[in-house]
Order: sequence, then C-alpha cells, then structure tokens
Amino acid sequence: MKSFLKFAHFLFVLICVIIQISFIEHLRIFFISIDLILVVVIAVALFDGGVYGIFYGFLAGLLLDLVTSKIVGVNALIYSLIGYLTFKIKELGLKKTILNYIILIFFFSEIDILLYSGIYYLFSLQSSSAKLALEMIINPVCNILIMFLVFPLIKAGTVKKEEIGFVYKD
Amino acid sequence: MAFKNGNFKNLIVLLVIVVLCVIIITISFKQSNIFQSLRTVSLDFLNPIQEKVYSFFNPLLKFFLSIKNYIDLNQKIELLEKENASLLKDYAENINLKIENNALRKLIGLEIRKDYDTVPAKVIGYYDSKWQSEIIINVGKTSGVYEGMAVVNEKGLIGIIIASAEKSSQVRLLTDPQSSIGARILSSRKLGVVEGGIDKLAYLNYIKISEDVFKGDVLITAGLNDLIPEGILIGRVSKISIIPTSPYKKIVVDLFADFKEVEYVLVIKGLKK
Repeated sequence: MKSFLKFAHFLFVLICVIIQISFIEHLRIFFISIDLILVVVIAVALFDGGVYGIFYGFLAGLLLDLVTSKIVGVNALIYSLIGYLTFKIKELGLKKTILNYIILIFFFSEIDILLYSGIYYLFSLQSSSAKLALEMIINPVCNILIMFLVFPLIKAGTVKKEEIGFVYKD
Repeated sequence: MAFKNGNFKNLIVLLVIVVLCVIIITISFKQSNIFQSLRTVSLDFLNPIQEKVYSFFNPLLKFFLSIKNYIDLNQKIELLEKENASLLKDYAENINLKIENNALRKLIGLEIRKDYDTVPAKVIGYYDSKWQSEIIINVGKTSGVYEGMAVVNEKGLIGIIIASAEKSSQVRLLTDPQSSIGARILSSRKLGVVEGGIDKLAYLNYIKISEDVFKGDVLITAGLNDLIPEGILIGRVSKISIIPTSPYKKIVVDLFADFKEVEYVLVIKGLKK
C-alpha cells in the first residue's frame, strides 16, 4: 500500500509537470503566476519524506527543464534543494498547522524565485527587476492558494498511522 | 555519530543530486548535443498527453480570455473599423499591383512569385518566463518540420522552430530575449533586426540615428535566411526614442500576431514546387 502510494505520488508529480506546461503557464497572460511543481515537491517532502522530496523534485525539475528551459538542470537543482530543506524544517519540529504551511510555501516561493534569478544572472542572462519584484508578490500568493488543493491530495492516506500514534511511539 | 540514519541518507541523496545537477547545467550551458536529443525525446514522450491536457483546459483558457477581451471591446472595435477601411483601400490597390507585377515579371523573364508550402499545427504548450517565451506545437520531423523554419498565423510571423522532435516542435516566439530576425521597413526598405527584450517587447535594432523611421511603419521579414521567406508581416513601429550614448535608435515594435491567443499556426517549409 505504501509503495503504491509513493508511485501514485510520482504519477501525480508527472501530471503536475504537464499541467504546468500546458495550462498554468498560459495564466501568466492574466498576471497569474503559479508554481504547481514547487507546491507538490513541498507536499511530498512533508508527507512522504525527504528522499522522495529530493528525488521527485529532481525528476520534475529535469523534465520541466528539458521541455522548456534554456539551461537544463536549474529547476532540477532548485526543486531538489527545496525538497531537502522542507524535510529539514519538518525535522526541526514544524507543527502541522495551516499557518505554518502557508509560511513554508511563502518562504520557499521567494527562495525559488531568487535562486532561479540568481543562477540565470550568473550565466549572464539579463533580468528585469520590476518583473522580478512583481513575481515575488504574485507567485507566493498564488502558490498558497493552490496549496489548499494540492496538500489534501498528497496528504490523503499518508498520515493516518502517524495520527493514531504508531510511528513515533517509543 | 551526529547524523541520524535517515538524515544521513537524505544528505547523501541531496549531495549526489546537486553534483549531478551542476554537471548537467555545465554541459547544457555549453549547448551540448546530448541535451538537444534528450529534449526531442521528452517532447515526443509528452506530446500525446500534453495535447490531451491542453484540449481539456482550453475552454477554461478561452473563457478567461473572453473576459479579458470583453473589457476592452469598444476600443478594439473602433481600431478595427479604422484598420478595415484602410485595408480595403490597400487591398484594391494590391490586386492591381499584383496583376501588373506578374505581367512585368513575365515580360522581363523573371519567375512569378510562388506560394509557400506550409504545414498546419496546433499549439499544445506555452512557456513564458522572464527569460523565455516559447510555444510547443504538435508537428515535427514526421511532417517535415525542422529547426530554423518560420511559424506564422493569419496575422504574421510568430517565431522560429528551435527544436524539432518526431511529432512536436518547440517554437521561440518573437518576444523571447534570444529571438533575432532580419527585418525590413516596408516603406523605406531599410534593414534592421527585430529582437525580443526582457520586458516581453520586440525591438527593431541597428537602425542608425540618421535614418528615417516613422511611427506606424510596417516591418516585414528581410528574407536573409533561406528558411524564413521575405515579406512575412512582423509588426508596426510603435515608439521611437534616441539614447544619447547609442549610435542606433531605440524602436519598439508592436507585433501583429498576438501570442496570447495563438491556437493554430502554420509552419513554412519553403516555396511550393
């Protein structure tokens, strides 16, 4: 059951990559900027574990890079780092409250934008600071809204044992 | 041991992946052929699913677009009415000129202009970030579509094919910061280069300060490249400014094709045989 769930989550990540390319990118026309993959990677790292967060982040980022990006590997690197950092924060004792999740999504959305811009800047690709500032406001808000859709889907079936006290009981 | 077993495993996995990513980024930045072929493989792999997903969400996108269009409907109608009147006049003139041109070409032994051989395609993906503007279309090498070919719609040039897989291709739009197309000002026949900017606008570059360019001038492709035929409409000059430190004018181009609404396109394969 557990491995089936992980496989289902892997398929879900793949579907999210396709939805990101085929649909969500179009929404930029209406100034809506959503990073669905980022939200899914954070959810996987929180509910499935660090290794899955890192690995799925890498695969999703690589696929996105191959289909869309100028430099292959940038998204793969950022998403796997975010997968790991999310798990580390959870390990430090993050309480499972909606407010904490919102802060987490906000924080990583900003980190994602800054890292992406930073890497592109290192490769001497120009960037518009006005657009960057606008994205740093819109993207986290949209990601937080999408979180309410994605988190319950990933969470379903993964935390039942934990809640009834089998996992952490000494 | 400071690390818990699980933490150590995570850290090792992360380190391996970070090293792998750094290698991938380095190879990719050197524009290696490995990634070009990997790109085409992933485009082929995603093509059927992507097409279905795009069709599924298309009504929703159209709905959003129609709301956006509805807001500036009156202004659009006024502009279109003006443009229509001017186009009708030009059309009548053009028909006469075409007949006259063909007759003169025959007279001096020149070949009469041929139509282009095109392949219709559907847009199945769109990617627009600060550094790139690209679309993915559902035709590829099996339909005779290759890198460098021009992509147009009824309004004018859309972009250039930059990667071609078996059944899908990646198109770099004119607003992409890496896009660069030879252009000619229709009225003065002067040559320049239409390039994309990071602000998602297109610019006509390399026009000297001493050269005359006017707001409203129409730009067409220069035909300097074998794969991009001459005379395809690009856009209209919308703003001209002079930068004191530059020997060239800064010219903003209002593109004819609206990339936000592009659904079907044509890929120009060459002249009809």
